[in-house]
Amino acid sequence: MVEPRQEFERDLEAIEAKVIELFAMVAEDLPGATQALLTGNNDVLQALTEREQLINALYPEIEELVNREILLQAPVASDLRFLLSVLRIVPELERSHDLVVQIASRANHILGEDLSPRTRGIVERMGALASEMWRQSVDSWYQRDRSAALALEERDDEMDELHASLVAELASGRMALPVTMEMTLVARFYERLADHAVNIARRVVYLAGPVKEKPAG
Amino acid sequence: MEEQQDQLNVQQDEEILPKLAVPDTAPRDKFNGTAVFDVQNTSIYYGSFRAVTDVSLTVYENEITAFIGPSGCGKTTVLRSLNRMNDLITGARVEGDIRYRGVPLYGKDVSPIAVRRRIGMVFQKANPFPKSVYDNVAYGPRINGIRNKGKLDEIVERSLKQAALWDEVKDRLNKSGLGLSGGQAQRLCIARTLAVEPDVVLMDEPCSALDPIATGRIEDLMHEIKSRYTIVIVTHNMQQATRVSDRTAFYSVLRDEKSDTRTGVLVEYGQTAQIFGDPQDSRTQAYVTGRVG
Repeated sequence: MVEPRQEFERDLEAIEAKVIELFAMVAEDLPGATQALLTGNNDVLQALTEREQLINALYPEIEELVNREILLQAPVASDLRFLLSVLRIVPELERSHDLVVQIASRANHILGEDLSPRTRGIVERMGALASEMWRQSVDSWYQRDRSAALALEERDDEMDELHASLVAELASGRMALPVTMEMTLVARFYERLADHAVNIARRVVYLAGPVKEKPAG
Repeated sequence: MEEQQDQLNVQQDEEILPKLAVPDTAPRDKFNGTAVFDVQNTSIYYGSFRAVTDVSLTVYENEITAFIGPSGCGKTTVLRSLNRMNDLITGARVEGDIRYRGVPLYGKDVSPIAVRRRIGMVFQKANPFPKSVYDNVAYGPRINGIRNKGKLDEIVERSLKQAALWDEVKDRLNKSGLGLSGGQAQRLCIARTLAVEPDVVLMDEPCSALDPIATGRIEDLMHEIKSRYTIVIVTHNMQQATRVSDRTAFYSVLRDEKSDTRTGVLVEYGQTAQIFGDPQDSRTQAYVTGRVG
């Protein structure tokens, strides 16, 4: 028997592949950005900026593909949930990668030794936590795992605590004012990255659909 | 003589079927409104062939309920059982409980004629009588004993307006109903059904032979009249079900390999947005997303 709606199925798979590609760029580039910031080595910035160009081309392309499927295929149920979810998370992915680039670009202004040891420590932990949260977020999307949202919300609380600690450290005035100002932004960037990871995991709850009863017969 | 007989039936039936305006024994549900049909564990047979089984659903007042499903799933059979049209087929029988406004529809004392007077039907193929437009619409009221010309004029105009056909035919009321276009003929049949002021209108794929514009008119008309009537529609067009219906029932086919028989079965029934948005059953999911091979 021929599988029905093969063409549509293929289109959906192609969209999923592109979304995963976007996800991967954010999740892969995040650790590199933290590393650049802490070492003051901005070599990675060039590569990140190139990725930025790719993303700027990829995300309107995905939106266009989704628009087309909605227009032509009258999707319902899980197909509609998938397409709407893609439309909602693609802007989050694009913005998240922007934040990653922003973090890395601070390596231009700040040298590693400008940072107080406590600041370094907190930023390291924020970077590691954000990377971990993004890995979890990618997995939750890929596996349509509706349980990840709860776990990520808890980790986001951790991130908020780290953010508060970093702001307190910056307020203590141990570092030069320009460095403090830049680091205030960086603290905010990590905090936002974590929020985006949570938002995406929440979208997965919708994407995965309600918990199914076992079909009778 | 025949008309007199009908008159008698009307009087008898009024005692058995509750008055339309005051459904007294029908269950009322705070969230869902008044139940018009309450179908429980019903199977329908043609002779020894079980056409459809396991049907339990409630049709609510002033709602449009759509029946969808692949061919042979029993949706039309269930529809026809709601106004006892299946009685006309030899060997057809209904097992289970179908209540219409709380009254057992297949009760011994219930006259199928009276049932069909309250529960009208529109068929897949428009079937105007070979009479004038006017006489098509006035047919039912005349059988019900209305002779007054002024009253009949009023009914014909009201019914044709409700069916969104008045403006197109008001200057040719005396021309034959057979001369109308497909979409007009179907709306004439709807007007004819509405002329006797039924409680429920059953529609069996009313748009399957119509173009999109005529289909759109009928769908608009359904939205218009649902404040006065309860509508049950069988449709193969799933987008039509999403556009017009409040609730959707999905039927499917069970195949018995041993005896090589197919039986229709009600798989899932719920709010239309739920059936098309979050189908609970994998068979519904496969059907509404077009993944059925």
